[in-house]
Amino acid sequence: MKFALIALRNLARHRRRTLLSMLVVAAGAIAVILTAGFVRFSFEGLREAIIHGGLGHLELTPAKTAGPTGPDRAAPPAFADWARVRAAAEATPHVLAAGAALYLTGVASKDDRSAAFVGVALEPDRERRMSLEVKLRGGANLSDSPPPAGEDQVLLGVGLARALGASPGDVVTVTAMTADGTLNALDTRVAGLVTSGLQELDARLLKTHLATGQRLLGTDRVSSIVVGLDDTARTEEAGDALARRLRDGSAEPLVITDWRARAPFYGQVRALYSGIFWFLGGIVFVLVCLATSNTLLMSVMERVREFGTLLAIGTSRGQVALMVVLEALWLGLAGGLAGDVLAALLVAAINRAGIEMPPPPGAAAGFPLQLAVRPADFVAVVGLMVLVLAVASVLPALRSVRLRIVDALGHV
Amino acid sequence: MCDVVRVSWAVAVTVSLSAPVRPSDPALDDLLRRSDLGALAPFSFRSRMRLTAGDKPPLDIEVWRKGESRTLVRLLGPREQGKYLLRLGSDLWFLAPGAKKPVRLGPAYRLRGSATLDDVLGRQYARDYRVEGAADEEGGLVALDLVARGPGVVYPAVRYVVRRATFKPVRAEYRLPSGKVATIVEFDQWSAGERPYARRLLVRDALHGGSTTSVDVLEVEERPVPDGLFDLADPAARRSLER
Amino acid sequence: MPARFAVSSPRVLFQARGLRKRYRLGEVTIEALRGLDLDVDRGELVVIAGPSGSGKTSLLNLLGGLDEPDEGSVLFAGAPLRSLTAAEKTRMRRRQLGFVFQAFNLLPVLSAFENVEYPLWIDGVPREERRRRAEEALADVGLGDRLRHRPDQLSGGERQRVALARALVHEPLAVLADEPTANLDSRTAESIVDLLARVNAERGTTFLFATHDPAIVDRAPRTIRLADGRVVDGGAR
Repeated sequence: MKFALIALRNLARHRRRTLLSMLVVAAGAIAVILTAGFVRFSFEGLREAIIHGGLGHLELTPAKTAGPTGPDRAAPPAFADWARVRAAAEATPHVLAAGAALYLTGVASKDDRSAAFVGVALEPDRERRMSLEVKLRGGANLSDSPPPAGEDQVLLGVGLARALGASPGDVVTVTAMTADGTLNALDTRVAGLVTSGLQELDARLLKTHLATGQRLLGTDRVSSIVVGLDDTARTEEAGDALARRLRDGSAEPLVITDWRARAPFYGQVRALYSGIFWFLGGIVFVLVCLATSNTLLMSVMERVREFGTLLAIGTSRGQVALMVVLEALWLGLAGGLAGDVLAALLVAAINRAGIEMPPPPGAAAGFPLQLAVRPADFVAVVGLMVLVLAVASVLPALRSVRLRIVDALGHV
Repeated sequence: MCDVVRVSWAVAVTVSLSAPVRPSDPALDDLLRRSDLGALAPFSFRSRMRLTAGDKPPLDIEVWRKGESRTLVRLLGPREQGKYLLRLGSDLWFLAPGAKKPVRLGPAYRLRGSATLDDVLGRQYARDYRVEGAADEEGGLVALDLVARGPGVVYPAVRYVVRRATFKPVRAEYRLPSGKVATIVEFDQWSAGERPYARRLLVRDALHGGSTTSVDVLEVEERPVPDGLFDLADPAARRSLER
Repeated sequence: MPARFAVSSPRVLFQARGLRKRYRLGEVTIEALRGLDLDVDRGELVVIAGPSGSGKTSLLNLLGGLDEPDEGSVLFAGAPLRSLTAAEKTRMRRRQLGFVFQAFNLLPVLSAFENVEYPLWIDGVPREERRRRAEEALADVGLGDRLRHRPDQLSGGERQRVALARALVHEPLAVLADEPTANLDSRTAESIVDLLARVNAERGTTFLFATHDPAIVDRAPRTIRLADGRVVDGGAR
């Protein structure tokens, strides 16, 4: 451990240079932590936006209408036993609530304007208990209780409302294919305007009460049951528990799809952001490596005679190299820790500042930046910086190893 | 929609330009006129039909027609009470008890399976199409190649196969502007009488896996039809049908 | 070649035969040693004298296994250096030789005590023994009260004493000192030479001592004079 001490003292010998090197390392550490925080913030934000934007954590679909990403929305609703399954789901641990979903497609019209819609009929009270949010942009949410015939309500996506020239309070006629394959139409009052966060979807989005949806389609079935959990991390666990519970007492075979399978683009976004993160990380790695390697090399070249003396009095070349590497490791450790402290301060400042991010492509609204850093990030980045410095020390260490003793002793 | 019309028109023009130009054959024109179901139908009538497709329950409809341009389709069955399709000229409206105002539908709206209203009721071939060519087929059949006279028809070209001896149509192949066959309607089980009609139509979707919708004509009654049934705004006359 | 060493007596610690060493300085080749023969017995204190460039440093480097001769051979304690691996040479320098340099060459980040302790530490000597021997070595050179001082807190003479303590702490067979007094004033230089003579007398440690200081040369029991890379006086007895 003596060499570690010598290495540390050697660093202390050139305070300014060591401080500069530490700053370089710290800057690298900060860049990595902030980027990780931003990327994770994006992942988590997207994930929760997907889940709480209406997808829920799990969806139970009758096997005959289930596709890889949930129910086949074009198929007529096939879930007959849904009320019992919903009750079973709601009795499962970590389930906040479970609500029926009935998918609709059709045409909405007002006066002489009409537009195609993609809709869902749901149970507003259960949606709320699942903490699935409704982003109202005018008017009010659907009423909790099933509307009586003739008092049906809808929520329109802002884009759809614009296309129809409809505002809250207006009557919009919704036409859709019934479960039997014939047409049905229903006058509905626009309760409110909503956004999904995605412009494309807002141009076609329609939400209504389950009772209205069933009335329109002439069915008492639903497409699926959406399940909301108290913690996204428990998705798999809850899915397994649900599968066991349903296997014990279910008549019709069901497929359980989790939010990740239902939102394949989440995986794509994640892959893209991860790629960016690793690319940036690579750049930081190389930059810190080059900058510190140069400084370490300089420090070796300044101490050639010292190394010559060490070799002359019986220090092995391996021990000399170790001394150089240890200096680098100290630098990585100290710089990484300094980076941790600065990054923690920066993260706190940024998160407190409430910086508003512009809307991502296709999204309808911006969002406040909240870097999502974890304690493990701070540990990992120190490890990373120690690794970077270990790599950076290879060349200087080789240089020290290759010294000819007599030349080194004569070096001024 | 406008684009589709423009394209179909362009194709129709192209087809008419590329086909060998020859004076229309009076014999073929006569053949088309005498086999044109749409034109041969009674001026006003009531009819009942059953449409069956796939595993869905059959759809029973009652058709009221007066002249070429006014058709009312009443959907029968307990769940369909109060639902109508109203065809006025080229406009198709849907009327439902839950909606105060009629909902406009496209002319390609499918009643059941692949069958549109025109597939079921027949088209006005002699009025809307011109004979561009003809070829004899086995069994005393003639295949007439029809091209739309102008824009506004759903299919710009039709191959209409009729039995030369009886003037009864056997098959109609409806083509898209691309030239692809979209729908094939086969006519079968002819009724006896002065105005014979096919008791069964098979409507085959040639684009999407060839699923077939069968249309059974259960009843045709030539009779006067009150104008009030075709009033878009006033449902009073139609309500009388429900009683 | 080994045949020439077969006759070497166990008394002889260093035996050099036909040593040649050339250096290239840009375009010019300098012959530092031109066929040098030398015998040094155990327990001798030998001064190697000669003007600058006469080959004193080159000779010490070859004797200490820090460099390889172009021709000729060195036998140390009966073993031809040429036959030793790099690791063996390192071990030899660590255990059997001590080095003292003109510029003291202490590790600036270590205290006097730590500098002296260093050779024992790299040789794996246990901590307590290290402490005892390092303290003794420093006391021997009169620096028992300067243990915690860093080199930059010591005078030139004190630094060279520390260097001497470092060269002696592991009780080597021989100490090779290259101009150890050149950077010191004459009084300090003399005290260093006194110290070497005392250690040589008390412990029988062999000293090879390169210098061009006539005052020191005069006091030496045996002087080998070099000129132009050859022994001109005192090489063999």
